[in-house]
Amino acid sequence: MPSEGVCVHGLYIEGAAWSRNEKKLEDQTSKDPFQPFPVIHFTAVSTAPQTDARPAAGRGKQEQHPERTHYSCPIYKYPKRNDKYLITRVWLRPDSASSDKQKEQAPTGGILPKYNWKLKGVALLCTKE
Amino acid sequence: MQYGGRITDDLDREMFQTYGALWLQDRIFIEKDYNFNALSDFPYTIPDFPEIQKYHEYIKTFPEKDSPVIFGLNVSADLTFRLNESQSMINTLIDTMPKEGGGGSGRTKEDEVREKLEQDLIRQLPENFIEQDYKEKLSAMPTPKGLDPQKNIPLNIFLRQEIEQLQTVLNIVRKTMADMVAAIEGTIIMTADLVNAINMVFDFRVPTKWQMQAGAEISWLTPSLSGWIKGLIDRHYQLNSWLTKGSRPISFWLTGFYNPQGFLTAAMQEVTRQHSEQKWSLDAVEPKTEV
Repeated sequence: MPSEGVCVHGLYIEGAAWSRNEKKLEDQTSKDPFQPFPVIHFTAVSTAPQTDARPAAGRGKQEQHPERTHYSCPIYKYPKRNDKYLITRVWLRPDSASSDKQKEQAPTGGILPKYNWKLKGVALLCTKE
Repeated sequence: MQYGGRITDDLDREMFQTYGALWLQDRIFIEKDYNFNALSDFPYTIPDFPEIQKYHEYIKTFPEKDSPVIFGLNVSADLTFRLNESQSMINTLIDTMPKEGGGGSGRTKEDEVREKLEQDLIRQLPENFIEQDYKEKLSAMPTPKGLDPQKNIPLNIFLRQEIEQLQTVLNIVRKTMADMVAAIEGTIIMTADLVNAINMVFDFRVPTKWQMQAGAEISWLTPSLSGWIKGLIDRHYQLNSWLTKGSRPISFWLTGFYNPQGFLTAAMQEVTRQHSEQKWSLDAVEPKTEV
């Protein structure tokens, strides 16, 4: 049990798969559109400029803001997605390998890794029905 | 999402920004035979012909069914779409099924619903939360490390709200179930609401009143009655064990909350308070997640 924040389970991922070993998004291989998603730890970090000399539990300097590298994955209550059922968003690490491959395959119309998961409509869902 | 008109939803806006950035760029005019999506089997390009006939011919070669891949969607998006289609068709079929005049068995719809309620559903209902009892247990809960025990604890307030909400639903369900039985027996007058509820139970679906009240969702949307009842039991179990154990579960079942946003906000608020020494303020924190 974490000392700060909460852990949640029971989510499903739609439109992609999650690699538990490498902790990143990857292309879906299974026929089942919904895959169980591992436990997520939710907590908070301060965005206020750190005046304190010793770094608190906040985001360190080396740690980049996930906005640049990660996919902002929405969590919905039901498979029927709309803003009413949007709970929150989590940053998920995209699969860089597969996007590189795509770039090679498709030099002109290739989808940039940035857009890949968004176009796929990857989302976490609370329930399958 | 819709065509024409304006985009009102934030998420739709995001979607269109992505589409726009990808496909409405200068390259589509500069490059000859620009291919919109190289991943799809059929090349969707902007052709350049001198005659209109050629354009017509090109359009005729388009595949009959657009693959979800061209929108960047996963291949199984089409599967999901088909599943939804068939589900809604089955629901329509159930709606048209005759509900009056029982079959050869001689048992009427009312008899069956009554038996199902008495033998099965009413017995499955979890126990009520007693207001005095849960308030006592809540105030006896240990204070998480780093929080001021004098102040209210955000997640405990959240738990109280969830219990109250589930209890409201439980009251409604218990009452409708009892009313349905009483109305079938003839003790009380059959109302339109009750007829509707009986029909729903007969079709193994969830009575409207259990899910919606005055147009707002009061519980959770599950298409089948058994799934909904299981949801009720599971939700009750999570809240009740959190309450009676007095300590928080290692991991929470997010689906089981009526107000999951509130849950996450409460959690963030607690973390912020735990850092009150470092002068964190709720305005200046952002969620951080780790899988």
